[in-house]
Amino acid sequence: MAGTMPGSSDWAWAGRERAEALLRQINEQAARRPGSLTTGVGSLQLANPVLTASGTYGFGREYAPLVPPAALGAITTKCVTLEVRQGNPSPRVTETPAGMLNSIGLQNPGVDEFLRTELPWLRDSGATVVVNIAAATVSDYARLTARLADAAGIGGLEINVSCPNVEREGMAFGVSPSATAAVIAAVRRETSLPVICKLTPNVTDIAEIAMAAEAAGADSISLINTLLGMVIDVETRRPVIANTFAGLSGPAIRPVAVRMVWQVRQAVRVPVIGMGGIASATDALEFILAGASAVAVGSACFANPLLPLEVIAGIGEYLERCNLTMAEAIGLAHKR
Amino acid sequence: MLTREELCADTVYLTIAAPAIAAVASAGQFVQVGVGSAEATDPFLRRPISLADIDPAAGTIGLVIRAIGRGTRRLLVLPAGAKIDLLGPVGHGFPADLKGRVLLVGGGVGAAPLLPLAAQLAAPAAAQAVGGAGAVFLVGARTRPELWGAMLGARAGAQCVVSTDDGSAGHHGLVTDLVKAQLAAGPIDAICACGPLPMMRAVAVLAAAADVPCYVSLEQRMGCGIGACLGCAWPRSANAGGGYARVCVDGPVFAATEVVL
Repeated sequence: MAGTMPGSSDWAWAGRERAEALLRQINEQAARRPGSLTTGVGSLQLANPVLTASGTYGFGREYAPLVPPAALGAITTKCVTLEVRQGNPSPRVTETPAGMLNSIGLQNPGVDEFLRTELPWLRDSGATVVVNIAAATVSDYARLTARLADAAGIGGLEINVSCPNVEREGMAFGVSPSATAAVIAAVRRETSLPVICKLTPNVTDIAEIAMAAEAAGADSISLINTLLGMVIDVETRRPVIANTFAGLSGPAIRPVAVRMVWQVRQAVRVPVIGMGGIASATDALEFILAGASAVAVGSACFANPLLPLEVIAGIGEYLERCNLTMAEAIGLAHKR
Repeated sequence: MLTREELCADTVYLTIAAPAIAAVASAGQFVQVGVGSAEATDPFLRRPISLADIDPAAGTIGLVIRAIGRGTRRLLVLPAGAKIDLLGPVGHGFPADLKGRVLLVGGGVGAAPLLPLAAQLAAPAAAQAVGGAGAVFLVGARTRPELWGAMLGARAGAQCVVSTDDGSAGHHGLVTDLVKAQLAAGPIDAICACGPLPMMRAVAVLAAAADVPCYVSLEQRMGCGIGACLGCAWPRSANAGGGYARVCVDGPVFAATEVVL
């Protein structure tokens, strides 16, 4: 029905000139200082350290009119589950001071549809693809991994351990070191792809969870997922978000995220991917200096679709100005 | 921003030079309006605002801004000449091929997205094509000062009928009473509605009873506005496949039968 009505992705016109200028700048930097932006997450080599945060970027299609998927370090996809998920009732999002709450409910077409329609498109776009996955049981994580393990065009898997574990009264896997380890070990057995464990910040000791994931075979740790929050409408006297609780993202959470990346960097040897409220290259550099080998931009892209390109170019500028390579910059703030 | 006109309390009409948007936009689409500076991250999100006028010849668009929160309040106080950050046009608008006698039903600020459609259907070429049957713009508001939709509609050449909740102008009662009267007066070819959810629900029921195609323009809290974040979900009716539609790109205009109202 919607197809019969007028509409398009005409919105991208305004940013195209600026996008092209940024891409030129990125290419010129790469030519001047070859390899200075390259980084790695386990065996996954990235041309630059800027990824997209899962759930904020779909499967890359919507932003593609402005940001070529191949220009990113990698696209981390919207979470994929074994079965199709319709997601949560509305309202699902609301703005908060310097951020927003979301409770989407992992809406996604399911792994079969992902493999049939989204992955081929991503592969054709030339993107490096990290597939974010979630499940409600350890064995479902394993089954999902097995479905993805042999598909062409996947650079790595990011394991969302923030979802409720139905075998433990709905407690999130990621708040328990042993449950996190069980998920990662199960995934590890099914694939030789780089396995990235995405941690929830809603824990007492983030380092303990990171170490458990590393010991179970994770090639990398990414953090942070959203902080659990809520907003109440004082006129209706009800929670604004239909699901009551929701995940807080945006610049409001950045200092928490930087602190946790710092702690995890000290606790594990595997590379760390930092995210949480990045809205500029300077923000991204905080994470890199705190110990992140790569970063992800998330909800700030909603206001500024050009953000991924601005962050790549801005990191390049900084490294050139400081005569550093990406490899040298990682964790520099730990040195005194 | 070229001009700024106060419509009523907390409501302004802005004309903005945006030739690239005006050239391609259609009635019912919207723009994502930035409310912070490039560096500022608070307020964090853009505000979805319907196009209230599309003038490709002049290269301008019109927006009705009603201040309901800290973001829209910022837009309300901007002076003429200010630069406004727009991302658009976004979304799917009203069907392009509406003809015959069309009812446009606007409640409150919901009159805004119907204005370009009212102008389009009132244009001499369109009016001639339908043999003078034309469109009628039914505008409901709480009180007389909030009937700016009818003022802007009349300015665009539309035939307007108004109602107010307090009887201070036009029919004393609901805009849906006007819909009933129009349906009773003669055959209607289509109805397009935008306003509070109970109003759209009532209009959809009337349209269904009269077997008239009905289109509604929905509003939902939005994240990205371009279909990526799945924040602005709206339940799709079972006979349209169930699940959720994205208001930003699958809408904001839907056939009333396609969504759960």
